[in-house]
Amino acid sequence: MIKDNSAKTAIECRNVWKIFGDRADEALEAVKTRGLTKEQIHQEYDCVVAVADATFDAKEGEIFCIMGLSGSGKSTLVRHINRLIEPTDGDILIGEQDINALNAQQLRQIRAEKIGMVFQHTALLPHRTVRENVALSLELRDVDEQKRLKVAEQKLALVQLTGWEDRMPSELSGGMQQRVGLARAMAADPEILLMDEPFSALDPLIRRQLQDQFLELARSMNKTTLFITHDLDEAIRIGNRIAIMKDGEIVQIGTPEQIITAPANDYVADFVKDISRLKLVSAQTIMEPLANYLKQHELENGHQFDLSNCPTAPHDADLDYLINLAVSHDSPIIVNDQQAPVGIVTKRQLLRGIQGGNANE
Amino acid sequence: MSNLNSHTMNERETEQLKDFLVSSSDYYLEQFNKIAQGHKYQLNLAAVFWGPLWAASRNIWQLFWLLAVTDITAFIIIGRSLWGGEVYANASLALGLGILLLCRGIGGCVANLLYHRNFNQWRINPNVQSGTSNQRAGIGMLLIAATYPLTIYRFSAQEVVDFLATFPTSRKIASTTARSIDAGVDWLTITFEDMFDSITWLIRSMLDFLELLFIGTPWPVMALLLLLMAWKSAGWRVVAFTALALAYLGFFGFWDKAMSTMALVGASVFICLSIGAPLGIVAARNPRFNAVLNPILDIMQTMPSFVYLIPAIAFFSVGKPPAVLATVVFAMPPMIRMTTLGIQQVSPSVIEAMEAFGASPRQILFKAQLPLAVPSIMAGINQSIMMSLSMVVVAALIGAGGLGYDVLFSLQHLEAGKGLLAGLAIVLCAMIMDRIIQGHHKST
Repeated sequence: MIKDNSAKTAIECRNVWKIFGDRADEALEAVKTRGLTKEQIHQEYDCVVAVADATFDAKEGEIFCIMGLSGSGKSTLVRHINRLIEPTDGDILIGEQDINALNAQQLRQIRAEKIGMVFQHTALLPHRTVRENVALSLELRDVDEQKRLKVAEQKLALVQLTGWEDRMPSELSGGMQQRVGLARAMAADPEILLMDEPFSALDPLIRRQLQDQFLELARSMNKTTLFITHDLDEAIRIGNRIAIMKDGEIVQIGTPEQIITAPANDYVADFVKDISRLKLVSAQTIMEPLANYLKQHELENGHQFDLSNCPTAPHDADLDYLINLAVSHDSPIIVNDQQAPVGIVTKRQLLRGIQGGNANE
Repeated sequence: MSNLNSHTMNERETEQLKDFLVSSSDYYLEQFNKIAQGHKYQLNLAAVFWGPLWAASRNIWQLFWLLAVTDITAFIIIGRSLWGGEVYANASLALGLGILLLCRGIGGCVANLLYHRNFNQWRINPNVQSGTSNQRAGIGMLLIAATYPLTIYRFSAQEVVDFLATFPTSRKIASTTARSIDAGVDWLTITFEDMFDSITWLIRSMLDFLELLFIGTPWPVMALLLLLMAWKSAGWRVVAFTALALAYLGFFGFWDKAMSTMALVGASVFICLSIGAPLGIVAARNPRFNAVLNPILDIMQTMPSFVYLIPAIAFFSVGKPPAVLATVVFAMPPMIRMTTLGIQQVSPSVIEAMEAFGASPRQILFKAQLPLAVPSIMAGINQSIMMSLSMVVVAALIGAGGLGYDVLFSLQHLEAGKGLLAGLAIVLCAMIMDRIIQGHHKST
């Protein structure tokens, strides 16, 4: 997983607008010049604003989640990346390539070679075997039959469906069908995966299995993934970063920890309220700078604080880890950044951190 | 809160009602309250007196027409008693007045109920017209003025002027139009003779080939082939049925004619498929073309086939080719419609997935839409076969021969037995073809 900022940008959306309706252009103009709300646009122009001024970028190898409730425009937004939907305004770049500048032929090529897509309702071809379904994107590019079927088998092995190649999609369970969908999306070995609520229609147990399986695959293959979901738990499990959408707008973009610890507004705060923080919040978020603590301690007690008896934790250790330390030690926990002590977590701060309040109040 | 037991209206409802009623709201408020309490039939004197006019002004057109019909009936009876020279003039006058009063009375009783229903519809959809309106009353008056006097006069007067009794026909218009169509057909026949001749030649050679195949092949070979097809596509039961049917055709002397009919049907269906399927595909992808095509298909299906047999003879002369063409006109619409339907039924998510993987429109058509439309197209072929077989008797009229000729011959010579046997042979031909094809598209 790549988290550093030096990674190259794989997908970039700049000020993307999508307005549905016959008078979309006028409506867009009105939004920009007169600042109308979505309701006003609907009333005046009979247009629906599906995506409003969406700007984000996904780094190479990153799993970027777009999370929002139904109707928030997330599925519409992701369809702009491979131009299944044309934007009303704004730019979409794949690497250096402006996707809106392509002609039909080039667009088909980029869809077939660079972008794989997985759909919520699988959308497999019901009249073809699993193997032929997976080989679809290669077939569309006229790769010869022997080769494409061999590739299909390899991809099916990746999603652990060896032995099911000659079945029809209807013979497979929902989870297996979705794995076929995943194999199909990966068959052309694309740089980018678009996943439109791939696991939403599955029951919770199967969903979790597939999430794990997908994470494992993603780690080994290092593909840039846009992952659409309406489930924040899923977004947090899977995403390196998460964009939260509401009514067509991106409300907040951040790592799971940023979203949890610093929700941008009440809407996001309401969402993250029930999310368990134990695996997400790290020591550096709740710690107090060591120098502060030492000064305070000396002022109150008249002698220097003794660091030698304290347990230590790395700066990116999660709350779960800190709790285990705190259970077996009485003294506060020292937080190290590359072997150097930088901060301290007392029991009080730890408890506040679990609760989600400000640790230093 | 309104009391559930008494069903009296609350204030909001009352306000709504006033909006709806516009005039005489006090009266109707009381009446509607009674209806809500379960007293459904209240006599509305205004409705009794004004009759259809009341209904028109309150926008209750179903009552308007009912009252208008009963009014006219009553007035006719009254009119006949006055001018019609009825023997029992007084009795019929009483009857007429009685009907008038009774129907107006019934109308007055249901008037409020119907009006209440209008109110409920208006609450669902505020665009329903409400209140009273002079415009609607005016329309009602005009309708009454247009229908009452003439109708009553026509039925009650003893002698009616010719103008009313029959539609003033212009024979000249009809005959000149028909003659100009004749001229058009003649012109087409002469001008496009070469084209018609080449179409005739094409169909004839196709038919010749098929007849050679069906009739020229020794009957045991043909029978074996048919049985084999039945077995491959539909299993033993259909094989048994086919064997029995073929035996009937053979022993009753219909073999050659049945094969000739099958060749005719085969040629028709082949043409239906090769023209109909592409048209169906275009229609599925182009809504405007579909909108133009649909009424044409309706005409093709409903126009009596005898009507286009005449120009068919003019263009293609008598014999089998015009019979095939007449059959094609009749049997092609289901082929086109089923193809369109099959393609339109393909799930949009599948099409979207194809696009997402970089398929061109052509690839989407051939790799997703057409394969998925196959069951529907097969059903279309099936329909075409059935409709072609139903045309064989008509086609026999212009010299198509085959089993249809036998039916036609026995019809002309009143030989019921022979006709029935030939008819049964047609049915069996249809069933053999149907079972083989149905079985085939069920198994795939």
